[in-house]
Amino acid sequence: MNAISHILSIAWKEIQLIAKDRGSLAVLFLLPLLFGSLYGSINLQMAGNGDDPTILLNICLVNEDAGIFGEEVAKPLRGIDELEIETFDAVAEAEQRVAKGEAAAAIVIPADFTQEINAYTPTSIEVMVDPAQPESASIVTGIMNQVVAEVTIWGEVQYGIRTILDEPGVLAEASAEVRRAVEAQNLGVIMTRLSEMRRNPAIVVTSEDLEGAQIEGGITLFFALMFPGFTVMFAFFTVGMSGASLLNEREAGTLRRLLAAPIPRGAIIAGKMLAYVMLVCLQVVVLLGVASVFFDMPLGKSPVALVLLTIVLALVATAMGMLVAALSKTAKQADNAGMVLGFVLAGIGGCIAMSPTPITRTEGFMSVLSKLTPHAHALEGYYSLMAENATFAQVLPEIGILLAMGVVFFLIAVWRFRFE
Amino acid sequence: MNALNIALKDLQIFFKDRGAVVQLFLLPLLFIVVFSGALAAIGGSGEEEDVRIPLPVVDLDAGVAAQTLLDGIDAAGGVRVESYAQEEAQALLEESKLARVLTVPADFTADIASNRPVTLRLVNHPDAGAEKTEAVRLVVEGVAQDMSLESQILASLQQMGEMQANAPQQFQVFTVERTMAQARSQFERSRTQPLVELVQTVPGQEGEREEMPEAIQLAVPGFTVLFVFLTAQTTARSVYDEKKIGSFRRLLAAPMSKASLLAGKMIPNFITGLIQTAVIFAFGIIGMRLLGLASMTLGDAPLAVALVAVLVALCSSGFGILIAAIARTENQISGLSSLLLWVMAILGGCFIPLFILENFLGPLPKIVPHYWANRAFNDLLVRGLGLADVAAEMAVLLAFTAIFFVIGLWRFDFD
Repeated sequence: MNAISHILSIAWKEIQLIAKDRGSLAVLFLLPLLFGSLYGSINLQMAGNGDDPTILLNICLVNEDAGIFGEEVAKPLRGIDELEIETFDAVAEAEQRVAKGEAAAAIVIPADFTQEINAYTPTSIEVMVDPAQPESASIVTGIMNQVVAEVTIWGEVQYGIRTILDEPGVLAEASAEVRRAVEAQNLGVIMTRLSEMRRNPAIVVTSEDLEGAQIEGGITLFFALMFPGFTVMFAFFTVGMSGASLLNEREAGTLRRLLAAPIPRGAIIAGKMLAYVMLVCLQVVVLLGVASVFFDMPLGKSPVALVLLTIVLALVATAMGMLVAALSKTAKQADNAGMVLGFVLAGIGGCIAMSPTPITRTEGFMSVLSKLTPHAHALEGYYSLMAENATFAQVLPEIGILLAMGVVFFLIAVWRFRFE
Repeated sequence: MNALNIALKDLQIFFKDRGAVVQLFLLPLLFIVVFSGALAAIGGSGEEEDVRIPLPVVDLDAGVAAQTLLDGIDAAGGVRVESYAQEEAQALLEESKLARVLTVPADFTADIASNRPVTLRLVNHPDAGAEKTEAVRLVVEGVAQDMSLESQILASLQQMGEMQANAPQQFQVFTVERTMAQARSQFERSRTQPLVELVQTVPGQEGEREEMPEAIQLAVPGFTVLFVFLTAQTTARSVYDEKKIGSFRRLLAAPMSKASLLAGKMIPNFITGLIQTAVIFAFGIIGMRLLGLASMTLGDAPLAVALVAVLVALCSSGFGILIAAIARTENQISGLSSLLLWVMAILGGCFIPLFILENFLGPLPKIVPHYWANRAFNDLLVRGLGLADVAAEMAVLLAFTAIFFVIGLWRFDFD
């Protein structure tokens, strides 16, 4: 009972100290919030789920073709919301705009485009893209592929009809006028039917899970990786802070005073750790809370597992802080070591989501390496729980590994730490 | 001379502080390796390894159309077709040994031939990665759509032919067999030689297909800008420390002007910024190559790059004086100013490509010097532009420097 009250009073003292350190609190709370909401909003907008229409790209259009097919490419482009089309007469001018990064891409329809398609000669449309905007480039290319597919089908059908009409015997004695009329009529009929058909494809692909329920996909699942990524990364930024705070106390001599007081050593360390465990838990609650409220990030179906995972994460981070304190000579060293560790482990552990699934699920060297960090296991746990509705039992291995890591860190810290 | 002496003293003090050296030099290098996505390259070492997503398939049809579909999926890239028997696949799926199974229904070929709608079922295990599932679905759908279109075109030609069969002989311009043969030959041809092709180019390269730049070409300058500006904090801290221990007052008592005292404080910041840039860029160019990762190039105008680097270092020095002038407590210098510097870096595009930021935040990023520095580096290193093209950005950086310095000087508390 006494020990608990000692621990609590030490923790309370530590919490008061933490609360005064506004700079660190800003780094621990505001920075991840800022990162998270900026990345989150951008991703939302790129995915087209935001309230505003999707991303707007400046596109230069150079249509050197006077014929019908050139117009058939240009017209649908003007109707696409994502594109702001500006027409140019000279290729050089458009190229200049793209080269300076003022436009995301320039689309150049060659002069003989219609002629070539009419003659059934392969032709090409040039899409000039700004190398500094690879994401825009892929959007433009995607749109152009669809537009070009339409024109291609039209060109193919027209050629097919013409080839058949040209055959000896077919309309041999008809006048050019009649032939054109027949050609146009057939083309019209076929194209109308085609557009009907494409609305009802003959082959439908369905995607379902084992129980037959439709699979949900999309951006909220990615958020269940991205936000925990930032959260875990910044949770471990407390490592330098907790480590340095312990050593500061030794340097300032207050640790000696605490030791002289009738408080067991274990209670001093436990109190300190409790304060930082609470800090990390608060971080997780704030960050994941914001993500859940403002970005519709799913929280999964097992709140108990979520809470437990968070507590274990906080324990590992705090134990790592004690480990850093035990291995560092000065508070400053601990602070720096904590920061470097924070970045490096976050990078290796996959906290900056560069793949759509946790790094532990990829194949190869990085995946193996990542499993050595607590970050990767915490992330894997959060992602399974929130994106895949894993049950408590399913994330038990991750919780166990994290706990084991925490215990190892703590034991080494106890072994190496010098109170004097 | 006085300024230089102070600068030399400060540089010596700075490089003794190993923590600061780690922060300003080692951290950016770690950033580049860890966050530029370059590490992913290590994972994909086995070049001949088939990295496509395996797609177990149960083919209940075993007809021609099914084979065409599966060949199409296998050839589309990204997905590897693996054949399974139905019971086996179902059992493995339930045991979580398979992530997903695509089932081609019996009579697929017959249904396609007679233009009856068919459904391909992709059944996924609940643990299967949602993104992979979506990728597989897109590939299957793409191939299925092409097949749908072909079969529908053929079916409608057939239908038209049948309608024409009732018309008088002189109006029957073509036979069904002839049109279908024509259509088939065109389908064949379009597979290897599309009528209209899209050619992606990059300005400046004549007609050649140019690879998009590596991520590192954007990441290195971004992190350089971030860390050079973080150095500003060190200047502020050095001024603060001197004030705290009283050596600042002694320097003031020495026979030298306040301006040279401030200049002496700025020069180490400037030099450190230059060394940082050199180290980070050298690492991006040489170090990354030695590590076997994607490396960067200096673009077509290395001199202009150097000039921009000088301006960035100068601007960071100005900002250092500004922080020193405005921040009153240690807390403000270490905590709040680092928050400010990081926020400025995020806003200025050190992490997120500028065009995305601008699309999202409008003109807001323009209020931080980082934006202009990143823009200049982007133009030079990614777009391959020259000195004249970044004159505006350089002028803005200079203006920022002047503003920082003037405000810093005005608010600076010498006592």
